[in-house]
Amino acid sequence: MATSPLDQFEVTPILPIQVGGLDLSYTNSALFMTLAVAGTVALLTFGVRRRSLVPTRLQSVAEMLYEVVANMVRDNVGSGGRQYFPFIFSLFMFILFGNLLGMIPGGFTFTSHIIVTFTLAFFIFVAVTIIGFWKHGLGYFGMFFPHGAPAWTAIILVPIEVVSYLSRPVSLSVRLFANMTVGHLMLKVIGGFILPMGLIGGLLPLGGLVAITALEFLIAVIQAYVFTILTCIYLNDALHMH
Amino acid sequence: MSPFVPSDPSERRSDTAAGATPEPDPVDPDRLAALDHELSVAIARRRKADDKGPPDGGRSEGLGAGMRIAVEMAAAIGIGVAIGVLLDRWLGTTPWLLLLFFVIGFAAAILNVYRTAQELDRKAKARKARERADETGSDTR
Repeated sequence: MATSPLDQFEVTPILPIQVGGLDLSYTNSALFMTLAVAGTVALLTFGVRRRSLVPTRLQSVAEMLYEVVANMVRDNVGSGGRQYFPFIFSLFMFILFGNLLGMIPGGFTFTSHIIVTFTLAFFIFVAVTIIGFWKHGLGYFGMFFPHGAPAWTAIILVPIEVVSYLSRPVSLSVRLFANMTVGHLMLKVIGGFILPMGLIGGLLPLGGLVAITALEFLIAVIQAYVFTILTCIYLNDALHMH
Repeated sequence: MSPFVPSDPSERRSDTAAGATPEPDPVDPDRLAALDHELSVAIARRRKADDKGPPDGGRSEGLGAGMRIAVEMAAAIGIGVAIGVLLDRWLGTTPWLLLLFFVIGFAAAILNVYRTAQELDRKAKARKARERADETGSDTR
């Protein structure tokens, strides 16, 4: 049994690989990322293998996921976002599977590591900024100054807008990381109360644990959704400056 | 799932246009009609339940919005402080730029919160408008 509620977040190498002083070991984190990708591919491949008008359950799931992301892109980015759909869909599926695989007892939640979520968010931030400059040229600097404000206010407004813009990858990554970490910590801590409190007293934390487990499934899906929808919103800002 | 008995293919052949037009996905029209009926019944039942008010009145949604705004705020202040500390270390002006960028970060935090709230508000309004359109419009979704 785990002794500390933090043990579940430990990254342990499964297949140690050292390349010129660099630790490139295949870890449990990497294993679950592989599982997330494999799961996504399997779900979508088997889901749409037999395309029927009245869908099977698996096909329903695959179509539903597709529709959710397609609607999200259409509503938040518009038709200009069509070409980014593959990336956004992959992102959504990767995070969704990462969150849900973490709900398997004994599983590892790679989205509970800030470095994973920050890498995703930072990549999105850089990509969106490049897209912005590519579409608007130097006019993209207009993002940092609201239309119609008197010119002298630039000295105050520009730093504020720049900090606000830079805070995007941080808020994006911290939100996902914090939600997943706190949820899993809570499960472990409350789970640790059950046995010491005995047969009668332990029923209370056990009931709480069941409720929180249900809540965690909800949060796993919601956070994948929120991460993706914010990516869409940032992409929309870059394509059609606000 | 549905208590539906699939009919055998020979029976379907005698049906109206099944043989005339090549369908990409041969499905019994009777079965489709039955499913259509079941679907409309289910939608009507859902409508009735919706009219009584939401079962879980957007509680989880409020929680999500609150978390989002809190993180948005903390992130902007954090970035402001980080910029301040780094510039201070670089220029040797401790602690003045930290103080300045803390204030700027706080302003950015308020800006972020304002924008998030605006966006949530817009989304809530859009949803309400869609629901209203749903009620007055036809029952096909």
